[in-house]
This record gives sequence, structure tokens and C-alpha cells, in this order.
Amino acid sequence: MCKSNQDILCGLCFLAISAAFAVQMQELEDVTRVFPAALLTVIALGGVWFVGKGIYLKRRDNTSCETEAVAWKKVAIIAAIALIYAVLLSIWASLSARLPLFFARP
Amino acid sequence: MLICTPGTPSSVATTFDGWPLTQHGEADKALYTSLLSSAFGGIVGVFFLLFLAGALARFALQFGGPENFWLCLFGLSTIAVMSPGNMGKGIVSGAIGLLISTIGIDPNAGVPRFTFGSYGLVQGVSVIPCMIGLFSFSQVLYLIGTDKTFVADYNPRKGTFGKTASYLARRCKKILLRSSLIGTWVGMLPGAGGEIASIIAYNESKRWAKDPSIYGKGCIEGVAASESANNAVIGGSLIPMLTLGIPGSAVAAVILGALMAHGIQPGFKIFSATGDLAYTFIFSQFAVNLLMIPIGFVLCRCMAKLLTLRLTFVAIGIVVLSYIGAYAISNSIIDIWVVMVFGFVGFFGGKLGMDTGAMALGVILGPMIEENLGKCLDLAHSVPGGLPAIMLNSTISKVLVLALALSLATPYLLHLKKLRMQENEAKCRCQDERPENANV
Repeated sequence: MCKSNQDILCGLCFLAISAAFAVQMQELEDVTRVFPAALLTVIALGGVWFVGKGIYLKRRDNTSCETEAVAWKKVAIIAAIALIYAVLLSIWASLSARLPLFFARP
Repeated sequence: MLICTPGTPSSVATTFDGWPLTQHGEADKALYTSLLSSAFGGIVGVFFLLFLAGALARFALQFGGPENFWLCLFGLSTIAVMSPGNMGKGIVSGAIGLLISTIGIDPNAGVPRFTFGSYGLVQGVSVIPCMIGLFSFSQVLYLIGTDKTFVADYNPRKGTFGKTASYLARRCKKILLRSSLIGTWVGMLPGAGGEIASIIAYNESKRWAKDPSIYGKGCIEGVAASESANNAVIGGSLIPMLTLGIPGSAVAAVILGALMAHGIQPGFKIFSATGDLAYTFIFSQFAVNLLMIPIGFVLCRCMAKLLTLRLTFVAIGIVVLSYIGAYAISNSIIDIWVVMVFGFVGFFGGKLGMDTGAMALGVILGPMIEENLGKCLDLAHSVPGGLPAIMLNSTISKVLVLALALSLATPYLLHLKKLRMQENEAKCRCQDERPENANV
């Protein structure tokens, strides 16, 4: 991936994270806000900086591009298996916790 | 180290150099370094426990909220040294880690934060599932993506143990001693544990190195620093526990309970009232650290064979063990989802240049930073001069602030040093070339 694209995507991720937490921040008051608010500011500023830097590098067109071979098909298979396994575990945990209740006598 | 998966938060810094060593086909060297350094750190910690327990315990009592806050920030400043070429992303990644650590009940106000409507997140994001996700699960995706048949090459050579021991004795004496002292010191402080000690020791080791650029690329010194520090913590945490009855860590609290059950009452009188039992306990710690070497040696040889298994089997095994390990901590399904989410964050974030190590540091140190900051804010209401007076009241705080400033300035200082060296080299070359040209 080119350095400029990497920076833009990274900056957008930072902005997305800060936006997600900023929505939840509205429920907080007083001292509870202080520490997260400071962190959100750093993350949001970082996001803006990296998006700006990426766009600047792209316009100047002097970025280095590295091609890293990734077996995306295998990654997708393992990720899907892990996801299905987690879902099955959740269902199984829920069932195994509730099952004795079905047979319990009042 | 074999699969870049820290078993505990205190082993995070070990993976920085342990995993690259494994990738270079030197897994046995990495494991033996870890074993010998751990034993050395453990012995140094117990040595301090035996001879300097009283004096050190009194020093540890001077650490309050502000001192612990600066200590945690000093630990966090490792980000600056860890990612010198990519410090911006490292700092923001660290801030994201800190933000994640604020999920759950606010330690100071008792109000739930950032739960995103999920009841399971009220208890916060547990550190270990988060570490498993960032380092273990993401590592599975990374390894599978490389399309290799095995995790790494494994070429065991005869005499590696002896060579490693000899290298550590000749080249790493200072590093081992300094890291063990850091570990013992951090271990004494209530609340601070192996995770901070190993990170600070790694940071200091890199800062004092003649060539810091070798760190993070598979350098024995990095493994030695981290491992000796996190094991020296054990001896350090026993100092306030035995002399003051204050357990410095969760492990020390369990040991405290066991000692009290056997009639040993911790406190200043421990060595006079129940001296025989107290000294037996301390000397047993020496024996434990010495016995660890032969047992660890056999286990290292067996465990390193993991690298000869096919990557697909290893990947499936890691996923299964990651889920079981995360679930077993608090019997919570949400921890399994935490592993998955942070696994994807670690994998895709790594592709975008995010620093997962810095993020992990943020998650580990976040609760301690916020808790101690809260203590300082509460104290500031009742002291003339407010927060600045509280934060810089003691000499320890001032020393830690100076150390923090030095730590943050280190990448710039190293860069300047490098530039000067390059300039000097260029000048020397010019001077060497001039007489030849003059003769011509």
C-alpha cells in the first residue's frame, strides 16, 4: 500500500474512533469527562493530521509504495472460522446456561 | 516469543525482540535468554528482599498518587522510544489504548462510560483478552497471510545454551543488573507490577544502548532487559508485603494470605518474632529461581518444537486456546468478542501503520493513570496551590518528571547524535581525500 493511502486510511480510522466515542461522551458530566475528552482531542487531531498529510503526499506524488503479498483468501477463511466459532460458543454458552432451567421443577 | 503471544501483560515487552529472534530461526537463543534473565532477575529481587527490606519499604511508602501518576506516564513514554520513525501514529495509538481503558465504571466517580449500550462492557475491557486479541489473534491472521508452511525456521544447534549464558555474562551484565534493579524498585510500589517494570527496563536498555537501532529487530539485550525486570518484580513486591503487610501485587496478596494461614504475621517484627519461618520463605525463593533453570531448559527444548508443526494446525490451535483463555478469566462471553475485535484491530491497524504495542501500553497503564490522576484532582481541592502544587510537591515527583522529559526527548537526541556522527564521518572522508587530490 502507498504511504499516502496508508496515512489517509489511518487518519480516517482515528477520526471514526473519535467520532464513535464522542457520541457516547455526551452522556458524561464533570470529572468523568476530563480524561476521555483530552484523549479524544489528541485522537481527532491525529486523525486530521494524518488525513491532511496523506492528501499532501498524494498531491506531491512522491510517496513510496510497498507491495506486500498477503494471502487474503486464507486470512478470510481463518477469520470466518473464528467468527463462526465465537458465535457458536455464544449460542452454546447461552443454551447450556438456560437448559437446566427448562427441566427445573418450580 | 514462539508465536508472538504474551501470556501476561508483563511479557509484552519481551515480544518486541523475542519474536524477531524466532523469525530469524533463533528461537532457542530467545528462550534461553528469557530463562536465564528471568532467573537472574528473580535472584536479584530476592537478594534485595533479604538484605534491604526495611529501608526499601520505607522508601516505597513515599509513593502516593502523584508519584504513581508520573511513574505510569514515564512507562507510557516508551512509545516515543519504541516507534521513533512513526512517533505520531504511536502516540495516537497509545491514546486510543488509553481511551479503551476508560470503557466501564469510572474509578473515581463510579459512573459507567462508553458502554455502547452493552451491559457486558460496564465491567470494562479486560486487559488480558485485549492483549490476546492484539498480539495473538492478529498474529494468527498475519501468519496465515504470509502463506508460509511453518511459523518460522527452527534450527536447534548444540551448545546454544552455553553460548547464550556466556554472551549474557560478558555483554549484558549492566543491562541485567539495571533491569533487575528497576524490577525490584517497581515491584515495591503498590499497584505497579511487572508490566510497568518490563516496559521501563526495555526503554532504559534501549536508551543506554550504543546502537539503539538494533532493538525491535531481534536483539538479545531487549529480551534480557524485559525478562529480568518482570521477574525481579516478584522479590520487590514481597518487600512491602513482608515488612509492612502491604501486598504490592495480586500474587503478593495470595502469598500474604498463605503466610498468615501458617502463622507468619507480616510487619517489622517478622524477622524477630517468626525469623525462622520468614528466612525459610526467603531462601525458598532463591531455590525456586535456581530450580527454574534446569526445568526451564527441558521445557524450552520441548516447546520450541511447536515451530516444526504446520502453520494451519498452529493457527487453529491458537484461535481455540485464545478463546478458552479469554473466557476462563472471568467466564464472560464478551471477552471472546474482545479477542476478536482487537485481533482485527491489530491486524488491519498494523497494515495501516498503527502501533499495536503502543495501544497495548495504553490499555495496560490507562486505569492506573486515571486512578492516580483522580486522586491528585481530589487532593487539589484541599491544598493551596491546587493541582500543580500536588503534582510537583515531592522530590520523587520532580525526578520522575525530569526522567519523563528525558525519555520524550530521547528520539530527538538520538537523531541529533546520528546526524553529528554522519557529519563527522563526512568531514573525515573529505580530509582523507584532500591530500590525495593535492598530490595529483
